[in-house]
Amino acid sequence: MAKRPTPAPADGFASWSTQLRKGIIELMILSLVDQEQLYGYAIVRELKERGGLIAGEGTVYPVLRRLEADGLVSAAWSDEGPAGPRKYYRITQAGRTFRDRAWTEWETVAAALNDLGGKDRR
Amino acid sequence: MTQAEHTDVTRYLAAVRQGLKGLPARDVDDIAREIRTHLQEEIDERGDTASVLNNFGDPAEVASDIVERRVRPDDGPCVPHASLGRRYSAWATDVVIGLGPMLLVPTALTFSTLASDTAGSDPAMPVWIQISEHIAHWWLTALGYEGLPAPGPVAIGQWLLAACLLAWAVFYWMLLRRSRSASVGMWMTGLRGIRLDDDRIIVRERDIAQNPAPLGTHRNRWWILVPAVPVGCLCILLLIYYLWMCIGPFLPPRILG
Repeated sequence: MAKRPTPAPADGFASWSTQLRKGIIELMILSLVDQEQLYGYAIVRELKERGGLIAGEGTVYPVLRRLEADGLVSAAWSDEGPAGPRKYYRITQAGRTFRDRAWTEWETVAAALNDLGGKDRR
Repeated sequence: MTQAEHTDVTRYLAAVRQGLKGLPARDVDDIAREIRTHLQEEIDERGDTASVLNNFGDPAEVASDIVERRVRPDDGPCVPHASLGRRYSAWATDVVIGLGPMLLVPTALTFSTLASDTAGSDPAMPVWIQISEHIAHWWLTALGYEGLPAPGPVAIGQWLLAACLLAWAVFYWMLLRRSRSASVGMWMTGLRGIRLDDDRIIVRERDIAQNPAPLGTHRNRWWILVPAVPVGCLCILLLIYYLWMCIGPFLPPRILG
């Protein structure tokens, strides 16, 4: 069976931006569910409202499933939703450890970029 | 939500489910339920079903992304493939289950004294060879050959046996094995068939991250395979033998001399 053709990006920046968002989406989700327990749609809405941090709404659920499978978040169903049951996510201790390490890594990268003069050249 | 919107969402979720084939059924239900809630809430808010479904993404890509993120051992490549030995074991087991009865039962009947007592006029010949002789006789007569020796009649019991065995083989290989993400052979060897970018990939069950981790994922089932692999080899040899024997009667007498 033939592979689905990958559409060519409109320009290099769009592709780079998408990859960047995909790369840090775990960190963003872990940071969100650390403050309060949230369900999928609420997480998507939060990320969109904070500057369109996601490449597509459907990209959040694969990450949530993986975080759950890795034990970085715990999940529980609740019947309170108006449109159906909601699955609420909450960060675990392992998730906090991972998030702290990821933040450190992020800050290292950001600091290195600043050292390279990223801010001054804009 | 209107009936039309409900139908659109259901169709979308069916496409997602199709792409999730290979993941544990409980997980697939869980994912579909969660996405349905998301879509329903957003449609209730915005009211534009087409736009909501479009924003959510292509269902095949969403499913593929979920599967790809789930099939990723911590210390291995992103999508591991099952070893050739394991895949051969699964295939041999399916040969035994699907084709085994068709090959072994007539052979066993031929060699048993019971077959000599109950079968038709030619109990020494397996039913497939008897049938092929009849078809070949009809075929060669239609081509104009005369004076061919008429094959002995096939007992009604042999016809029924042949029909049942053939039906089982077709049912197992064409329906049971093809329509599921894990055949019996794959289950025994701990394999799963998943779909990534439209390609079906065979992976080990233990390489699919699950939460909670299911009991017995790492349990070996090789003790079941110990008889399956040699019997599978025997079945393949019998299959070659019967094919060869069934071709013989079709060769015209002029060629046979």
